[in-house]
Amino acid sequence: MRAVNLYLAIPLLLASALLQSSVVPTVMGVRPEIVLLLVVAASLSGGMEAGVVWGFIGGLSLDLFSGAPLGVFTLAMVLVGALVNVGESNLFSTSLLLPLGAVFVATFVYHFLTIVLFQTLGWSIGWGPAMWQVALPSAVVNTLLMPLVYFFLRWLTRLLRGGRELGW
Amino acid sequence: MKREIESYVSRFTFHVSCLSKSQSRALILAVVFVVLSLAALLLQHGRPLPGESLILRLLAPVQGMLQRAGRGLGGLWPDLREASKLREENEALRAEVELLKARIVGLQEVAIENQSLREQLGFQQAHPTYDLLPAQVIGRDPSNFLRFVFINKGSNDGVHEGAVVVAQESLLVGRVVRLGTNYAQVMLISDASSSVNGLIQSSRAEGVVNGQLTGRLVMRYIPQGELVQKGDIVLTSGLGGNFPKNLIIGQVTAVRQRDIELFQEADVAPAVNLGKLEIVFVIRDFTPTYLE
Repeated sequence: MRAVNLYLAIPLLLASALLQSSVVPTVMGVRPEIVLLLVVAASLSGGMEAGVVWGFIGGLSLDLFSGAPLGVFTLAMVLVGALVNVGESNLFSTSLLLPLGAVFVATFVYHFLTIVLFQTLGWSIGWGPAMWQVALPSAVVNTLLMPLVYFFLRWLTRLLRGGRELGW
Repeated sequence: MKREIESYVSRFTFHVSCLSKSQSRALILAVVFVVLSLAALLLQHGRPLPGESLILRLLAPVQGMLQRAGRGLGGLWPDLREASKLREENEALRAEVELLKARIVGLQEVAIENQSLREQLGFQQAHPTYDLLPAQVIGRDPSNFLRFVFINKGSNDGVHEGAVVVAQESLLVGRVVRLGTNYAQVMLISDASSSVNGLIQSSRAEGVVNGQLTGRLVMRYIPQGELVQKGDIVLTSGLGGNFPKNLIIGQVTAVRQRDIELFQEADVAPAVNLGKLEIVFVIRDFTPTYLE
């Protein structure tokens, strides 16, 4: 799978943000971040271009349903979507270890960027509790869920594109 | 300055030209999206952008339906897992109900006596009755850092920005921070950026109740020497004008008092389970005072 279509990205990411803000239950005190998982999966399988576009749409969807100022999650997701692919994924793209390792690191990077943005905007979020009580459990939960999301996205792309793999 | 900018642009162009077509396109897209995000952050000044409100207005009913469906499904697993525990709890609760029934009878007598004394004295009630608008919680903040909820009532129903939200008439939940025609976003008192002026019911000691990332509450700035104990009830003090007086915030679960510090701190358990809110009430006739 090289990537996933833009027309798939918009409804899928918007629906995921909607689910994340309504149905998805908390696990280990945190809510699984489906949108982040999809962005990482798209970036790994579709390249940096897909990562950036999916990051933009996913972040914007999260911003819509969040009390945070519009742009916080968009900015963080675009950067995560781009950074995930910096190490060039082709070498590992067939291995399941790459998505697992990538999402674990990406969760920390995403939370790090979000905290920096919140603090820049004057919101009071402390580094210690944010990293230990939110980022760490989120990274564990997201890593556990990644295989499901990764293979779901691969399956969906093949289904929609009749086996062909397209750019975003 | 101009020379520096030209130098940056030419270096950027050189680096982009060294990348493959796909990589350079991705880089340009990333720059465009980052600039757009920064522009949104700088331009909105705390207000939702026009398109944002429209999308939320359309999606609010869908979010409500999903939330209801999720509650139904989410309740199944814990119910099965805790069946035996529930049986024991049920028996304990039955015994407690009997005890409380007896107490209610006694309290009813006191209430009648109290009412008659008030009438004799022409006494104004300390707790005014508020105009409460019931609302359903239809969504939560997707971020693990923030504690906000969406409710299915908005400006069309008389909700205003800053309106106070409670559960069961007097248990403080939060306040409205963002408003649409058919939805409102409520910042819970457990959000890390929430702070409420509170007081300990028994000792009248004042402090500020802040939310934590974990969803717990901490009461800070309680003067040394004030008596604070586990189990004390914490109420809103009304100071600052953002919240009405005497709403119940929670109960003290632990006190941290060190002689070398200026103030004491207390952990406070919210009076209502803020993670499982379903129905809340918006106080429509309380307008917060914003001190300039």
